[in-house]
Amino acid sequence: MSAASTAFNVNRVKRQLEVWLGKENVSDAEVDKINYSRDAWPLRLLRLGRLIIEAKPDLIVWPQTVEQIQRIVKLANQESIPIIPVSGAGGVAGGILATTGGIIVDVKKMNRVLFLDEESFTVTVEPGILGYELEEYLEARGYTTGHLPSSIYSSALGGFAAARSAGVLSSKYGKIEDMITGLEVVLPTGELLRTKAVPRSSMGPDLKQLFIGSEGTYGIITELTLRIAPSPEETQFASFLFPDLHSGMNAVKQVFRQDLKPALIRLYDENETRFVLSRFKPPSDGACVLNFIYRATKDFVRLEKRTVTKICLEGGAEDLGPGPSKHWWNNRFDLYYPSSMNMGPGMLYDVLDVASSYANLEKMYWEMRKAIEAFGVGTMSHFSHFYPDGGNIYVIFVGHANSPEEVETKYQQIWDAGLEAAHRAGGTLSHQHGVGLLKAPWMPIEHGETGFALLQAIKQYLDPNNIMNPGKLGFGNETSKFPKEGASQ
Amino acid sequence: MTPPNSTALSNTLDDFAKISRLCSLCSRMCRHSCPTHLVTRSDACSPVGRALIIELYRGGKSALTEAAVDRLYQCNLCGACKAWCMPRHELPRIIELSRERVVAEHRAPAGTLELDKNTSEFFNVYGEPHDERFAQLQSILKNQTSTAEIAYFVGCTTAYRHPEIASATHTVLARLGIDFTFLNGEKNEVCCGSPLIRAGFIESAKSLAEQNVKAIKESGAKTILTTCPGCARALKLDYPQLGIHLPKKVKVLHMVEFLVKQSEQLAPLIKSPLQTKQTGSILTMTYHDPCHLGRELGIYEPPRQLLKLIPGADLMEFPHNREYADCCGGGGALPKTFPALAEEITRTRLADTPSASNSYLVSACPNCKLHFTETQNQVKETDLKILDLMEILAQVLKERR
Ligand SMILES: Cc1cc2nc3c(=O)[nH]c(=O)nc-3n(C[C@H](O)[C@H](O)[C@H](O)COP(=O)(O)OP(=O)(O)OC[C@H]3O[C@@H](n4cnc5c(N)ncnc54)[C@H](O)[C@@H]3O)c2cc1C
Ligand code: SF4
Repeated sequence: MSAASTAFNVNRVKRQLEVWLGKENVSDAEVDKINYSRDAWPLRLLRLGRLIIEAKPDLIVWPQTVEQIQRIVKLANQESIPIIPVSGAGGVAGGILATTGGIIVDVKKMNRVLFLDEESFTVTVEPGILGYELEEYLEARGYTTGHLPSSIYSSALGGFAAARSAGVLSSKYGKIEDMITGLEVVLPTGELLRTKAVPRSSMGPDLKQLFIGSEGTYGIITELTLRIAPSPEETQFASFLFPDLHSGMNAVKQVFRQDLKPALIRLYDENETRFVLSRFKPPSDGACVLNFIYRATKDFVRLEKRTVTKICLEGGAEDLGPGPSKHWWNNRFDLYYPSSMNMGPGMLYDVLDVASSYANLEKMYWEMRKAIEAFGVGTMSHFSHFYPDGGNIYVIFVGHANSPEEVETKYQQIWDAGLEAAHRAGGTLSHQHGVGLLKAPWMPIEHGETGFALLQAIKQYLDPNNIMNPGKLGFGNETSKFPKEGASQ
Repeated sequence: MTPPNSTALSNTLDDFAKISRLCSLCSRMCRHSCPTHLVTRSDACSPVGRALIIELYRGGKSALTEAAVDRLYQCNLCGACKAWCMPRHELPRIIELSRERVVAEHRAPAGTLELDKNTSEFFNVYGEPHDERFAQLQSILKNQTSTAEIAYFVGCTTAYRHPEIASATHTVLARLGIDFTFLNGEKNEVCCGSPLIRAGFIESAKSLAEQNVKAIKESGAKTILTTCPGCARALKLDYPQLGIHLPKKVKVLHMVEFLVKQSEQLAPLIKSPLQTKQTGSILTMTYHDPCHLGRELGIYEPPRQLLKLIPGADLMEFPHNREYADCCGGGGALPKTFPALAEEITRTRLADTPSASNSYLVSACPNCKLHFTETQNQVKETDLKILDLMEILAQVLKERR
């Protein structure tokens, strides 16, 4: 599949787009293009910290209607111009990088709440509304989506869906794919696809799911309908200290076996436990903290709390009270602000977010740690999304190298070794962060030859000229795992 | 005028290099609070966007092109980003410093050049004759002593656009029996320089600051009161930063700071709850936190405490209040550089006022009043009554016996 042509008459296209969208909604200014050459992918940020300019789009547009998007896409399709949809630009895998130039379609001006259906408990929104903006709107009316990833400030609804994100309270409220009941998508040829917003359907495969996680390669999401939940009547916190990871994990399984769904179940490994308890008490070697948040009606919270406490104490835990869990909730964004610790010269960092069934989860954790720590970097991990059948691992690594070149080599080696270990252990290579450029080469490995060929065939059918977000999800003929430094300057 | 390429200025921008670098790499944790971003929805027109432009400039990767200058000036300098920043980065200060570079490179936007011209020729931002600074305050000037220990620094906007705030202030102080003087006549108050500091014209601002310090010294006043948070910030914080100092014994206070200490004397003077002429019913009020007064000077509660002295007053809050309050749209010279953008921000704040019908929108800043009033008159979307806190107090205070 060849990438769309990068050589197009930018001025002519710009003039046309200005007629359709208005001058203020089209830009080819250098400083704007550089600002749109980054998301929150740590590798891109490490490079940007060295002021490396790469992956710039040729144009950026801010459409305000679906019809405008259709026009833009049709034009791009006719002229084989790459299109890169952007919502919050808070993705962490390089999903919006214009490695082959083209037009960035930033949907953030499409930020309206279209319909709050209080009878059906759904809300219909445009894709450019930030997670925070939607939550603020709903909270004022007594609701929440329950979709609260740590990127509610950084990301917008279109991106949540396109990158198949999961909020920190996913155990109770579900992940984005569980919440979306209907989608509208502008296909790469400009046609409009609307799926019915219904609770469920058995009229063949669920088309909307094809687009949830398609990261802009199958089309541009222009409208979403999501389930909402009432704002919780009661929220309570609890923390337990287990002697080791295994006993903590067992307690989690017991909680699900009792048919309970606390909003948050978050188990820290020994390294992160030391960090989490630094302001509380020093833990014994190997000890692991398990945090819970209960959010429901008062009665239900009482029941949940009683049962969970019993399970944990019987599982050998010490009850730490609400402190560590509450502290995490109130300060959960702190880690995401830039600091000299990870952005300093020679520093390298990132997060591997993988998932598996319980049968493989602990094994996967130990094998990934071994594989990653072999490179002389430190790790700390938590299991932050649990389900009745398994959960994720969020492995944070932080290290140092002597030169920028070494930073990049080591970074890539760590990712390769970590994902290889996860794959061997039977896990999926991303639970929530998506593929982008970072994990593009792993798509055939994740899905198998047959599976990936099917995804590619769908791409070929939907997007014969490969204009939509070329190179992402492994679609395209790019062979390098990472864009070469300075690509598309 | 500012000398071109003053190296001292570029050093100052470099002093903040660590912060601008980190902000340029941020995952946009404060973007949702940036009023200009929320209108443009462009990631270049955002705290991170501006920090990256500054970093590119500092690193020699981008000149101060027209678009770069536009983005740096498409900022209200409202400081909302600081409230959302866990490490509390002073990004607005860095943007101010970058504007100094823009000015030094002779690339300042036309609207700001007008500010500079007006203040250097007429000593006020509006380009009105300097000798008419107190023209609209003649009736209250009559009874002023010229030797009082307290001086009221009026500021350009109150003097030339909203003199009713000065009249109201006069009434309030008079009812409290407080003797004060203006810095008029030979004492010669001029623009405080805040608009120039915000727009990057630092040398011009210094010259105004020096004139004001001289005027204050000559007046012999020990306390300077002002109803303008921009003036208060300039006198309290900016002048010392510019190396220009008032005598140590001189205190500068925004009127709400001063009055809240007089609460005991004020309370018994309040005659009745506010009433509308039309309905006779008690009115609701929403207090808008001015950016300079709130986030810069940390004054959130005194204005509320003063309004709550009014029996039966129903004080409402914006959904975003205190540290998280949204800008009125008038900050950072935006109305001079991007008036349509500024107006859109003002409209949004007006529309967010709770209980919008027939209630008061109260601020403690003449610039907020100016922008709210002008925009409301244009769009006519609400029937809010926009008043300064001094006007509210003046209405409810009875004569002292
Ligand atoms: C601080 C921080 C914390 C995070 N925490 C979490 C977390 O808790 N859970 C989690 O799941 N993720 C998390 N992430 C990752 C990120 O939030 C998710 O990947 C999110 O889904 C990205 O949304 P966005 O709006 O930022 O997307 P963008 O970065 O704009 O885009 C992501 C991808 O989707 C495509 N896309 C964007 N908009 C559209 C559209 N309208 N139609 C089609 N394709 C589109 C883009 O082309 C790109 O490929 C975090 C990121 C940050 C920076
Ligand atoms: S001020 Fe803080 S939150 Fe805003 S961009 Fe800078 S680091 Fe990020």
